[in-house]
Amino acid sequence: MSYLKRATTLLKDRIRCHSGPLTEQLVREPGAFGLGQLPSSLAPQATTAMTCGFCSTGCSLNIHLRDGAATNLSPNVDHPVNDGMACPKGWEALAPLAASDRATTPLIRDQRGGATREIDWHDAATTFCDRMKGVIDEHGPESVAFLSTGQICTEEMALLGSFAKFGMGAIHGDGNTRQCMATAVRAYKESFGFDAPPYTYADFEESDVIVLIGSNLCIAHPIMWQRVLKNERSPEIVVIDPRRTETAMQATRHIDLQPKSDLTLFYGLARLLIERGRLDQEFIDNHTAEFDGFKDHVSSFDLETVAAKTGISSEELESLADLIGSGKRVSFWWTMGVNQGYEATRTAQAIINLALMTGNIGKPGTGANSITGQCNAMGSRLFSNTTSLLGGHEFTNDEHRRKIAALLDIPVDCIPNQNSLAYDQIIDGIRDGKIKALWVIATNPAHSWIGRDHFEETLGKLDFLVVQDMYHTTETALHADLVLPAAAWGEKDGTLINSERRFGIVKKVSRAPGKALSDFSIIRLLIDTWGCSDMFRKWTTPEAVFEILQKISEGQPCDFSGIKGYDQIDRDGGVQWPHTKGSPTPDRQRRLFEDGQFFTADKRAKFVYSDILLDPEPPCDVYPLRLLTGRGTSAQWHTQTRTSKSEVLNQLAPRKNHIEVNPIDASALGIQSGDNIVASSRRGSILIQAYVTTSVQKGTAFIPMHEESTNRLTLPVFDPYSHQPSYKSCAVKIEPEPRDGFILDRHR
Amino acid sequence: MNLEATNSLVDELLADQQRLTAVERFSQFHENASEPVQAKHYHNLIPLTQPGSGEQYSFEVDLEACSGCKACVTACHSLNGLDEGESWREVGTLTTLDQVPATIQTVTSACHHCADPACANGCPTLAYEKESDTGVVRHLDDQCIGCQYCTMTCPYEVPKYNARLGIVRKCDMCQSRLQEGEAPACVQACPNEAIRIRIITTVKIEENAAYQVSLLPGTAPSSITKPSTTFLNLRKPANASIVSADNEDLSPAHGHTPLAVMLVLTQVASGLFLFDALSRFTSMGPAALPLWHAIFAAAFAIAGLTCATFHLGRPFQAWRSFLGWRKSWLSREILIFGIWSGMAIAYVGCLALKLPPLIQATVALGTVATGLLGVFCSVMVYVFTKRPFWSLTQTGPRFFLTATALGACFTFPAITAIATGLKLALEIRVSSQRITPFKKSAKILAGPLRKAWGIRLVNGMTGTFLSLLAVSNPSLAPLAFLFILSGELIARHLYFRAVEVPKMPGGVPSK
Repeated sequence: MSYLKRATTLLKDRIRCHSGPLTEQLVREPGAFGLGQLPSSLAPQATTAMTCGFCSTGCSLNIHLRDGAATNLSPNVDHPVNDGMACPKGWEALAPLAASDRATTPLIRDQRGGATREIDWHDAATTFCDRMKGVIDEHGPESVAFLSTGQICTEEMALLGSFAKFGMGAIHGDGNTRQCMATAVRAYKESFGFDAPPYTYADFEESDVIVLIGSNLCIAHPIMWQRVLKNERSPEIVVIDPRRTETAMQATRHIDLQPKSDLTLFYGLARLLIERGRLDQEFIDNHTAEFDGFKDHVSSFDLETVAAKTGISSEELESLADLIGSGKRVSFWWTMGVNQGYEATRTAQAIINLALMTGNIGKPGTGANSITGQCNAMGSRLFSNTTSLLGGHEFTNDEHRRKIAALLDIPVDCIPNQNSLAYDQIIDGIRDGKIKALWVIATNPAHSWIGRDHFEETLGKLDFLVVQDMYHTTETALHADLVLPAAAWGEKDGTLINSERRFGIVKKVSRAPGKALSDFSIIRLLIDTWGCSDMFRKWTTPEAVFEILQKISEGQPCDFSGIKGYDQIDRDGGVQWPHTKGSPTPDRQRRLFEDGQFFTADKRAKFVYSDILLDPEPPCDVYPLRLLTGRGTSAQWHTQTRTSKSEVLNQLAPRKNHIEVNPIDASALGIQSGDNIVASSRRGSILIQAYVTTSVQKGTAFIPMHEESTNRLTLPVFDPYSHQPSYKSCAVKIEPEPRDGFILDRHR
Repeated sequence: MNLEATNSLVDELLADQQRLTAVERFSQFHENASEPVQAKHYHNLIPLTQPGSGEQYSFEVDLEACSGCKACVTACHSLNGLDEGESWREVGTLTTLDQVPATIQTVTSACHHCADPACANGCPTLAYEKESDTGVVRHLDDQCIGCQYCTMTCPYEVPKYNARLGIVRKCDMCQSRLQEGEAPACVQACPNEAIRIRIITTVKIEENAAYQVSLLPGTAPSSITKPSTTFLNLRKPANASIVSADNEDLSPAHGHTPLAVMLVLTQVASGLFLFDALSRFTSMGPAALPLWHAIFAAAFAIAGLTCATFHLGRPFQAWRSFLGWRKSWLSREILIFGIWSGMAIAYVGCLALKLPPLIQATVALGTVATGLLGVFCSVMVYVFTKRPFWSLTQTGPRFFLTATALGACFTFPAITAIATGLKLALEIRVSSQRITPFKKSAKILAGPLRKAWGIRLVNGMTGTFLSLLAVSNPSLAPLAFLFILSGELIARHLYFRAVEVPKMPGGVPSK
């Protein structure tokens, strides 16, 4: 009987399989370490937390380890930044490491346009040094330059910048942070006396009025949006953006101003605040300078003029001014919509001015707050040794040079006493034949540089182009004479500094493929081969460099000499600067300027302003549309060199580039959603798919920045103070795809 | 630096690069945690109790809170250990067309764990179970043969085919997590707390299906499957319609080539048998039909059924496909065609062995009847999907006219000419873009599929013309047959590719 029963059961199981090898693939089991259930196939043996390497939010990711190596991850709970949440890029942070086009060995290209061949590290380092020295010997130290990044660890950046300038003797180096943060840096330096974003993320939660300017927080920084939602004060959320973005949809008030009218708007609001007596006079008197000049300056921005220029009604402007001057806690937050403009620095300072005049700084839920782009933009700002000397010092200040030389135990003559050219000037230098050798680290200018239509030709003018990257396939690496294979985030140790000045830690949890080395090790090898290892004998490990940088920071506003090594950063969920030596364990959320003391010589914040600039390329009869660019989706990061390596992220983004066009403009040309159309600017033309939507205003169009074609159209003009490219505006025209097909016209 | 020294530094750096020390170097957090630390975020988002009788779990999405960050999609992928690119949750966008300012509504959705799940109702192998205690529609991965029929019957594009495994997989609402009081991956991961699990009564689901018409603007009528998901707080403009961001997307649907070929071949075979029998056992048609005509028919039948197996991810498990016969038209189709293939061989055998006419006629009747019944099942397989382009009035005529047109080619060419012409007229009518339910299909035909559609028209017209000529000149029949057959194969390809697939809102399209 029992045999029969067993046979029946067996048969039943064969007929109706509730289990088996396929079912087992997805079986979940209780996960240890407080993780909850996880697939058995990925059950971790240990976990360790590290800071995400995409954007500047600085989320902490809990890496799931098996045999010491990363197999999966989940967002870290109880971390002061993200508390258990991550955006899609964070969730997929490990995927780009496994891509098939990782650079695994040094590559040399014997002939421009030809194929590369593999070489060993010794030959690579020798080639690097011989060729760089050759260029310097022939053309002088100003003929070599490096382009650093906001994507590598602080210690690596410092080593890179120090080797390039102190060891190699280069004068010129800049970083891709020029493309994202330069404006905020310049604005803060002038207004506050130091590049010091004043806020902490808790300010999102403690504001009564949150003003988001040129910031699509919901998809660009989803975890900061989470902080907004945690605000229990029922905040008014004002989004100032010409586009109807995801964030504008979430706002309580969307100010859909005319593109490039933001500076006028803020000056107009300042005048309204003054007129309506909605000022914090005590704060202005005690803690700021040059208010009277500012008052005079904005007096010409009368309501009517401002309403006409911005397209915002007088009533709306007045009500907005009243809201800002209501005495409630108002915080201002800006991102690339402000930073990437031709008068960006003054616009950022106009925002700072609004905060200063209403006393919205140094208190919970306030601030004029720049949200950074890259994971280590702040590290680059402080320690890349490009625009400023290590730790926010000045190359042109002899005292600073002597101080750094003494701290590093190097001859002061090794430290250049002139400022570096900015990114755009370096590119111009290449074009003009002044810069002959370029070293590009973890960035992709052949994709991301503005108005890049002739960029390949420009690169072709170099005698020597070195690209150091985790992939050998970036648009820039494809032109390189020498490719140095770099280990990625997750394959090395070091620190990142996020938007709110928080040091976070990254760890080696995955083995780099082939012979790829961390940027730190690559530079150490180059130092050794160059023959200047004596100068860097103390720079042995990232943590040793961290200690050196701590010493350099002492006495600076960014003083973090009190951090007790990587252990404290790891244990405490990061540490914000400043944290001076000997001070007690800091709170997890700290803002600057609570005492009203700024970093200027007179301790006062300065009202900085100037006249409105002429639009360098307004729409005209031939190019009637104004093109805006920006983030496409939360699943895409910049030039997509990493995010395109994750199939899941790819599925969350459009497969091809598209242009958003207003229905009125589209129907005038008979263009429908899904049509292939030609978009042209004075720089070039691209074939692109139309998406007709009222999320863009009539007369404007929008293209995401992630595809390489976008920057064939953009206009290479720069903010005069920050040299940041003005990605957000140029004049274009659109037309249906010609019947005989599209031919790329590069020289229109 | 000499070579040796550099090389030793390189070796040291390379060795160091491969050394992973994070575990030794840093302390382990939550080493002894007995409860998931994430629970503090989701304990309000899942029910405290199990569903009672007449109740089930359901997803509840607060659309106002969904800001389109898509963390849910990646969390589903990562926390469930899914394959590269695989996730059971999707995020799309609803948007106004010309309203100013625009309304943009992002929508996260997964399986709706329907009260009347079409995936389960259509499955030939009973690889779906609606769990009685939780209401979760669970897919039995080891039971699945990879026929992918559920990818057609689900009006929300939920089940997804996994080519590596040769089966379909789908959301199980992380049921093992729910059992232990943990939230599903998507619920855990949403920074905005937009996704919740709620207990819903079956009565309420029925009511929603009856009164709400569809889950969201543009999605399939809820009456088809009675989905359990509730979408709250849809931002909907008062005076403007809101459509999926990929509303204008004309990307053709999956071609399912083995199915397209199988359908045409089995229909040709059943038509050939019909007219073969009519010729042999009545006074109609040509006298003395040669044996090859029946062999030809049987060959088509067997080729068609063989072709169908190429559509299966796990053909060796296909024996299970009879299990679902009570509900599944696909199961019935497989069963009937299985019997039919036997009958077809028997029929040819009877003729070849010249068995007594009564036996021959009986077997012929059986073969013809099962063949036509099989074609009817084929029709119902597609009608069951409730896709307008595959409705009974579309699919029925198409399939039976294919059978008639090609089946009569060598015996009743006049019928072939009429059937081919009729079918062509039907297809042209649908492509006119004037008939509401077929507008999108018509646009797809005129757009990305215009080349194939053009060839189909030429082949169809040539075939009709040739079959007319064949009435007086039978030697042209084979040529007509070839033209019509190729035309029908392309037409069936277009039948699959031009169908408008019902789905949840999609993202900004790109071809």
